Amino acid sequence: MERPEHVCEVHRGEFLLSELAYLRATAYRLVSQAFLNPVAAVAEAVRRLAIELSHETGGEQLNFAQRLSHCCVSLLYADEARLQQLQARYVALFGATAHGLSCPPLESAYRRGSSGREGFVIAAVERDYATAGVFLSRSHRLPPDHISLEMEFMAVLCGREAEAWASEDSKSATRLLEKERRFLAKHVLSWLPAFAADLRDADLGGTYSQITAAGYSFVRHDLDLSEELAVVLGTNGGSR
Amino acid sequence: MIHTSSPEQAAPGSPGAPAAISIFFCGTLRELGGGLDLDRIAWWLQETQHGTQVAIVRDLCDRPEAIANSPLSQATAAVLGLCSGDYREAEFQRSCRRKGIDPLRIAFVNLGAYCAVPLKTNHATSKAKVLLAAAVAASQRFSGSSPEAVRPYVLTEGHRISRRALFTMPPIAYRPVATIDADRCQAESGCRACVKACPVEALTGVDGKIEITRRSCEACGMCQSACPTSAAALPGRTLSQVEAEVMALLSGNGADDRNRRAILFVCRRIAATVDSLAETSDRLPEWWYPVDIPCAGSVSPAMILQTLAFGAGAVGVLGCGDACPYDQHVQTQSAVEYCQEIMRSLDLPAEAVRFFDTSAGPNLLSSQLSSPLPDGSWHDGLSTLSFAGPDATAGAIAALAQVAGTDGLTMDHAHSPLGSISVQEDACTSCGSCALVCPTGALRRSANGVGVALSFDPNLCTGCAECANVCPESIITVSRSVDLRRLRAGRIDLCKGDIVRCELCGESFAPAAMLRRIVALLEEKGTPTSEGTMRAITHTCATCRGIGKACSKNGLSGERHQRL
Repeated sequence: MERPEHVCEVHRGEFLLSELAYLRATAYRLVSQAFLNPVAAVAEAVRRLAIELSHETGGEQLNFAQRLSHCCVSLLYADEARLQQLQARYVALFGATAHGLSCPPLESAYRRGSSGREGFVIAAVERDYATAGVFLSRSHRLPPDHISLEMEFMAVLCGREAEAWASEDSKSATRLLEKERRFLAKHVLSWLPAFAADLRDADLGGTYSQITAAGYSFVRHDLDLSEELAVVLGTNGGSR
Repeated sequence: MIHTSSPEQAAPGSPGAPAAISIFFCGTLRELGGGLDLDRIAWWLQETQHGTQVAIVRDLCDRPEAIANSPLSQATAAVLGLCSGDYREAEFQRSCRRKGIDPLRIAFVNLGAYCAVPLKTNHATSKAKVLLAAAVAASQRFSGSSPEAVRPYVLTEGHRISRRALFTMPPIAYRPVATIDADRCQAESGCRACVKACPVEALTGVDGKIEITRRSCEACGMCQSACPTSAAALPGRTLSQVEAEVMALLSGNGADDRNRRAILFVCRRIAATVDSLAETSDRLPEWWYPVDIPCAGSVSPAMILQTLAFGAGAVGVLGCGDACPYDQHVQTQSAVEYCQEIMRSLDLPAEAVRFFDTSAGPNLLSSQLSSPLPDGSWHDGLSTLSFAGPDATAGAIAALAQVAGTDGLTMDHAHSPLGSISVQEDACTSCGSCALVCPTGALRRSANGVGVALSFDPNLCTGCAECANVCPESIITVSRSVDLRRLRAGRIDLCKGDIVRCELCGESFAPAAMLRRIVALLEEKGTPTSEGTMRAITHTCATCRGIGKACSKNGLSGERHQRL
């Protein structure tokens, strides 16, 4: 996804919809990367995305996005020794232990209920990916309902929305906005609060609990924002 | 010119540290009207308000983006001293966000209308200090918004954005959404005070929890005023923040003239009307110190009476009148009338409490506001304010009564926020249902092995009548009244009774009154009951009764059976 050309402020705080969608895509990609195993390449990607989201590029348009950006820069822009510590922490929190997964970053782990319905949850996520024309790469080893993949999917949708606005295709853009809203409500926010709460306890004040809290704040805010945009653009048929 | 300093500033967000607050002034205030001595104010703020940094920005009112470009360091809150109330909120919010400032922690202070334009320099500077200190105090009481407490809002002024001509959008603004603290909320025991108070039906009680329809919440603050347990809050304008602001307005910058200062609670919808009155000194007397509130209906009697007891010369409530979108006009007026009645009953000047509304028109409103403050000596009854909590009203009344030297206030009033309960003692079975649903703990059932008591604290009663609704004997009467002697007496026992012990196991199992009631009911209904059964009911616990029944059925005998 290319950054839209008209990134500057238009007039007295007005903003471009393409720019807004682009910023949202960047924020989602940042959260996605932050939940990958923190090898050097991932840390570098996180750092780059966090800077891209900073106020220098208009990131302040989104409340909570700057917190996310600050959080990631300070925590993941690390040297080799720090990265190794983070990797150990990542495995301890998200990897398999003798007692199962400590804090599984998976939607199915939180939505399966007591009857072991992981498969249904994963299938529902994959179906939504497929409906949007997104398929997982075979080389990818993460399960489809992993937080990184759900966030990356949101980033893809927002990126497409940005391109649609930039090419003045408002119909596609509003359709994508609605898709984003539905995916957030149906999937992401159905388990992210519980995951954030678990991580807060398991990683008290640690890197990942802070990133998850900041990420949850952004996602919760983004659902509100996409609902608000649907209203002002008249795509939900409702009123304020 | 930029004037900055950072005296011993705490790191923003560090635990236990006061909030780091950036204060920005519009430089035009120097030339506006009589003019403000901004340098003196800036120096004073840095000397007296811990953790603040100050900048004076040329033409700030027209250049919100100047905040983002100012050399002040990142902060978590901002106070903006502006020339008028006509500012572009969303743009200020956005500019402040670039400095790391929470959108709900931005206070706008109209120094032009209340100080620079109507007053001479020295006087204006003095009043500006008080208003700014109050804004800082309110800001320090709020720790910041969570994603649940704030929602984005695109300022379209009621119009949809055309999708044909898109590509730009107005700036995003942020507004608070009411929050409910689940740990404090008493919804599980049936309390629905916030649900009843919400004028837009944004709150619903579901499965013992209060749920908020975020898009419906209009941040009117009615829920937080109605909540008896302080579980509901309006982030950015919590009762605690209003308390801090009022205290600072009455005691800031020299408190020797506290009783010459009056607090005017102003509905945010009509703030512009008051601003325009204030710009002319003879239309809004300088003794009025405005406090913005989300809706006049959210001003409770506790807020009015506590403010008076703290030493205000008068308290006014200014609402939108019949134009109130939430139909709170009558409720607001009733709250004021109740407070006037309290003052009158205590032989204190009732005109210290005033109600205004904009439907009177600016001229009449101005003449009403210009009515002089009453002379009185009821001040300084309270040393601190506490608007929240069920005992806030009772505390204020007791303090005012103490100052007035009275102890014999008895008053019934249909809109009294205090309730009083009477129970037919001889008919109470001590079942404790009433205490279970009482949201404030005014009713309490206590039992030990020997006796049971139902006690009541009138200071905590909000007159919600949940107790009367659940009482199986229908023997609780709730009245909306104040009895100062009862308030001072505090918690008293309404009913006392014995607990009966099981003849078989020796465990206490039921209040004697309850057993008498069961027997009476059985007799009343003519239910055929053998003497043995009756004795089993009144002398043995349910567990042992089960054993006795089994023994009898199986023809068993034994010590327990014999005793039964």
